Amino acid sequence: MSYQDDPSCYVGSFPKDFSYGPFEQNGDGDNTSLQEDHKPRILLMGLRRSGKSSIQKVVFHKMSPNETLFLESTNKIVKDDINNSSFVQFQIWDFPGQIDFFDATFDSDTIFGGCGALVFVIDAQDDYQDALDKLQLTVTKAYRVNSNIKFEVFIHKVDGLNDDYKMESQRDIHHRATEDLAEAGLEHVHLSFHLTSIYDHSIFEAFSKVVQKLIPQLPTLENLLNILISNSGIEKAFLFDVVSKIYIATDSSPVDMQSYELCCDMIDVVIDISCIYGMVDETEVNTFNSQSSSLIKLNNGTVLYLREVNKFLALVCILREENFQKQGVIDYNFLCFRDAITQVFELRNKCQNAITSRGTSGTPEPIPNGAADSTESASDRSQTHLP
Amino acid sequence: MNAIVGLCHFCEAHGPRPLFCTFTTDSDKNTTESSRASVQCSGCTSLGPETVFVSREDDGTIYCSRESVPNADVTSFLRQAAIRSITCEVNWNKEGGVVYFNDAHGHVLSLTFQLKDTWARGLKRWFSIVVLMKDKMLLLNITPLLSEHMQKIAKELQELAEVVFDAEQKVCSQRALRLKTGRNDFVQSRSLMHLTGDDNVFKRLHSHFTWMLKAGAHTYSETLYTSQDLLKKLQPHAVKKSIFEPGTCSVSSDKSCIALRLLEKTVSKAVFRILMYCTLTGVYIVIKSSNVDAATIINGLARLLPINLPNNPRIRQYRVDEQLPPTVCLLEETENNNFSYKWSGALPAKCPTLMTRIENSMNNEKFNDDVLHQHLKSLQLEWLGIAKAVKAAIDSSGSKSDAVAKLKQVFGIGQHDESLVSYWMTVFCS
Ligand SMILES: Nc1nc2c(ncn2[C@@H]2O[C@H](COP(=O)(O)OP(=O)(O)OP(=O)(O)O)[C@@H](O)[C@H]2O)c(=O)[nH]1
Ligand SMILES: [Mg+2]
Repeated sequence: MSYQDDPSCYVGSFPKDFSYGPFEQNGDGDNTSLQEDHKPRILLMGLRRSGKSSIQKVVFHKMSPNETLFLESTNKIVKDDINNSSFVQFQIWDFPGQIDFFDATFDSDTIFGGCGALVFVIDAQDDYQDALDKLQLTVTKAYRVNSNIKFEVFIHKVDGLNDDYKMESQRDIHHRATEDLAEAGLEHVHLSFHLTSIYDHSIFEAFSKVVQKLIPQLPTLENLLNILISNSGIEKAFLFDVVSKIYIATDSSPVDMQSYELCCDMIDVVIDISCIYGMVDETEVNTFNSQSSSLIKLNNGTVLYLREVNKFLALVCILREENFQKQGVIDYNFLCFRDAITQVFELRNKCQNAITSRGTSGTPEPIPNGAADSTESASDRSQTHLP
Repeated sequence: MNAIVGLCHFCEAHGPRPLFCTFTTDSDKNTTESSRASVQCSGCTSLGPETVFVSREDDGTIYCSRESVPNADVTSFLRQAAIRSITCEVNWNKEGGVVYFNDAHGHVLSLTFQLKDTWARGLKRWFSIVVLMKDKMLLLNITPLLSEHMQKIAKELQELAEVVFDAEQKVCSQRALRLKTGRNDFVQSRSLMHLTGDDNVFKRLHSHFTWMLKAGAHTYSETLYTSQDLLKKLQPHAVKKSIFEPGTCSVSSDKSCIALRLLEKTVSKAVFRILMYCTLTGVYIVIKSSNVDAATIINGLARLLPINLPNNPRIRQYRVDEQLPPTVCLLEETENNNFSYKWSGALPAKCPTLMTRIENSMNNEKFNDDVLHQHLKSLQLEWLGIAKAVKAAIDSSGSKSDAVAKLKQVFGIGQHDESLVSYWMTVFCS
């Protein structure tokens, strides 16, 4: 039995210091109250059964999509701390779809005050008129409390739809949602739309984009990746958060779904292999570590190359086989890249503000692939520690 | 026991809602009026709007169970409790009890638990039993007793639901079915009768909840005291000659009792002020009149005092050839119905607060005489209360004590009020 005495000014609302016990938290048991830490917050809202909890479970807890058929209807706001790596740190709040959180009894300042992004999930397999009404209401109210929120609309469960219908409903939802907002006098509020499904990689892709907007160092990371690929003959490079498989940055060439899926699958393979064969003793939990790397050659002349950056981040590259001849150079460039990222981390920890400008200045110049003589042998591949 | 015991659930379609409640009442109205049907949902309904379960005690107490209460305040309190118990409050165990206080609505003891349900999305549904009460201390005292019983009820329901669940799973495994079809279509929340396989489940709950209310009433009894009752109980002598004396609050409407404004006019304003000061602070007044009846004036002045002292020795009629000391205020009627006074004293620069307030209200033209007298009564009672409190403080901690000084400060008793207060303490507070 626990007792809670609250002053009547919070009549029936969430008390300000309201927080759930550790059993609800799937994070690392970090129990600090939200008001204290400044992790950006991502809210998952939308009508009941739209798939909010499924998204959170599948993306961040490795739940298999089929298991979401047995998820219970959410009855409380579930707060989930994601702090895998120093870059990807945020909190996800999964809301019950039935409850009207704009009711005066709830404290909307607490809910939207520290919120970075609001993901509104719409079930595309269902009639979405109600969802659109709710979307308009949610955006107007949330915007009033906090005008810095990024609004993301997930047109979800598109796995059951054929391509024509998918496009058609995206167009329709986009059109009607922006019209609704204009009606409410909020035409300047930007909504981003994503077609998603937990049964393929689209949900990871969409969530990657949501998370990226919350990483202030994104331009630096993109810049580093651009330098890396142009100097190493790489076609596409993703910086992955290994646990969630969302990519926190990529170079500026366009992302196509297939290459992203390929890289996701590669991470799965590496993790599975290291879990099965990498266990040195029973106590070791994290078999994916600083030593991990992997190379996969596909029969179409493409090479997938994975290198860890730190415990939680991995770089996955796609390149032509002929460009992989000088692997030593790529490895050297990668070390430079990793060094730079480490510096960005350190710098951020030192001074949060001046990060973007100063982070790149300390970067060692990568050697262009082919321009420098490669003297390193392939055996150096396993060398991961900087001198 | 003055409480409401309710059952709430989390509906997959409608969110947290109350669906059944039991309360005590003594009027039959509650047992006949029909509930308002809230939503068309089998999960959110229990008895239906027309059915009411009633148990009667010999002493006229009625235990009444119904789907919802006609009273709007109670309905919203119940809905709040449903929302808060199921979606906000957290116990260290997943299922468990919580007590929370809310001075505006009322205080709540709740137990949240899950029942197995093959149709539910998570194969489980949330329920809560809530006890709503206005009396915080009573709720806290009674919590151990009630929560034990609430846990028993929850367990009983869980066991019933488990049997139904197992039987249904045997017929068709939900796991296999959902994985095979790849969908999990929502039909409607099932009713508690369906979940527990017991058509009489609400009758059970009625008897359980009634037992809780009765057990609560047997363990602790609530008595409603007025402040007078309390004072009588705590300090019987304090009630004597106080604002609680019967009749203190009534204003004399006697003909012989002249209205204050008329008195003021009769004796002139300046004289009236002297008389008022003397009456309030206990200076002896002697009245020597020829045309005007002295008793009228005496009764009129008596209006200024909170308690009518019969034959007040301090205000009396002049006796023939009497020699008066100069400290006594002598009111004399001169020719042409004019009045004058003889008194060695004088009005202080600052008159007692009460006197100023009386003068202000007499000048207030919005007050007719009746209202004025009523108002004066309340002013007097206020100062009588102050005098009593100061006296009690002096009796317990001495007149020079810090506590008394502080108390006087709180009441706003200044130097100019001292004479009035000390007079009132000796005359009205003994
Ligand atoms: N086909 C398909 N079904 C999905 C998808 N995502 C979720 N679902 C299904 O949608 C149903 C509801 O998912 P939940 O995640 O529990 O829904 P929710 O939005 O959290 O619902 P509330 O907690 O009640 O607000 C489950 O049966 C999921 O299996 C998807 O991308 N495709
Ligand atoms: Mg959910």
